[in-house]
Amino acid sequence: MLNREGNIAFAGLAAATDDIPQFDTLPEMVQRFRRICEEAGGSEFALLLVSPAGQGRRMLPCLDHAYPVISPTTRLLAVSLGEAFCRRVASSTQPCWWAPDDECAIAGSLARCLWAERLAFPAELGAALALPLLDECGSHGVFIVRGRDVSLTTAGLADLQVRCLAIFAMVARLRPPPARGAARTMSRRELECLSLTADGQTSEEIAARLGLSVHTANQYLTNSTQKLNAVNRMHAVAKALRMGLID
Amino acid sequence: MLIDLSREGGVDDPQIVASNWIYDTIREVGLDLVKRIANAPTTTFLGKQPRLWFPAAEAGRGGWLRETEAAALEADGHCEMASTRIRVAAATHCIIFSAQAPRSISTSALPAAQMELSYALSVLACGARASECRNPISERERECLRWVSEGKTTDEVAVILGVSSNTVNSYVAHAIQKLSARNRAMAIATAIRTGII
Repeated sequence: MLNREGNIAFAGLAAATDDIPQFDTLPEMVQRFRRICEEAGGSEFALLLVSPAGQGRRMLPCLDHAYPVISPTTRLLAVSLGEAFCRRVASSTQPCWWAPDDECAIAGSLARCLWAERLAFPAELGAALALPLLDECGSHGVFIVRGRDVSLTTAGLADLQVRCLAIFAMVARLRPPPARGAARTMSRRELECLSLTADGQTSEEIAARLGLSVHTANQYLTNSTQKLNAVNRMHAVAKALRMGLID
Repeated sequence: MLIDLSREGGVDDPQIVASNWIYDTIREVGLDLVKRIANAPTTTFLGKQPRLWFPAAEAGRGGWLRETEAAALEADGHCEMASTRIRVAAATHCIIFSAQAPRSISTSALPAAQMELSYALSVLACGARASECRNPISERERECLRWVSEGKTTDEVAVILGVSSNTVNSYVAHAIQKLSARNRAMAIATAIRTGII
């Protein structure tokens, strides 16, 4: 859900759950990110989310060092990071970084980190480290630490990223998941049929697998298509995947 | 033990990727137990605080673990366990650490270790994709797939791309073949799961 400025709007506080450290508020999360940024030696930070659906993927600013506003540098970054970057961040947890030259501390230390991958970006984007983040429900994001003086060891990098993951789990929870409406009304059978369709099964095969008649299987698929506001079954499968209803 | 929680044709089909468990234990407890561990309430997702659990205590709770299985695990030196699910691209894995005695596993060192494991899995996934990319999807084919995944018909895609319907069908057919899919629906699902569209 985006508000007028195109930022992620937060619906409110989620209910406290099991084993996630209890952050009460967004400012507290921002504080934790700020601390992580400082430990890494960075000067600015930003949390961007990968847009879940639509034509191509975009980066959406969520929060940054200028909280409660979003700084222009973050906006520029979000717009400049193209679709290939979104795909990269959604398909791999490996940290990536960029720097305009090799003399800065970031280039020196991250080049020695076992897993970090260097990307080639225009010099205007400065120097930064990007940590891909994800949660169990399929939301993807990236935590970016900017600055020429970022310096980390391999172990330090992994530790930092997993702490970001913990915060991200809370952040993703605060966002109202757009799928909630559709997810609540989808029945188990409907999701099963959709999932099998995504795996390439025909209606006859699905019916045989689930012990239904072909007519019933088709009915479940038609219902799914309608509930997801899709045009046909392939569209329904694509929507369900992008919303995280099936995986 | 590292398990790939893959699904083949819509059915859960866990594969053990690597393990230093003795074979007898694996055979005795079976892949079904491995799958249940991966989905157990004591198994956390990467990023959340890892939870140590103990087979005897879990079996005593009368839930997903049977007494006989707990006994087998403990007899073979798996007394303290920590299990985590890690997701990378389209694949979900489960990593199970176990120790012979309580208070052996360090919960403070676990998260960073699991993070490094996810890096390794990412590299593996990219490598797998790279070898599939002997036959990469072309830009036009990807565009076609994306429009079809948005619900456009062949004719509509033809208008959007400014080509004939036959050409669109041909692009889609090539994409299906390159993705080793059975039909359009599966090709789209595979493409979304691996981040191609």
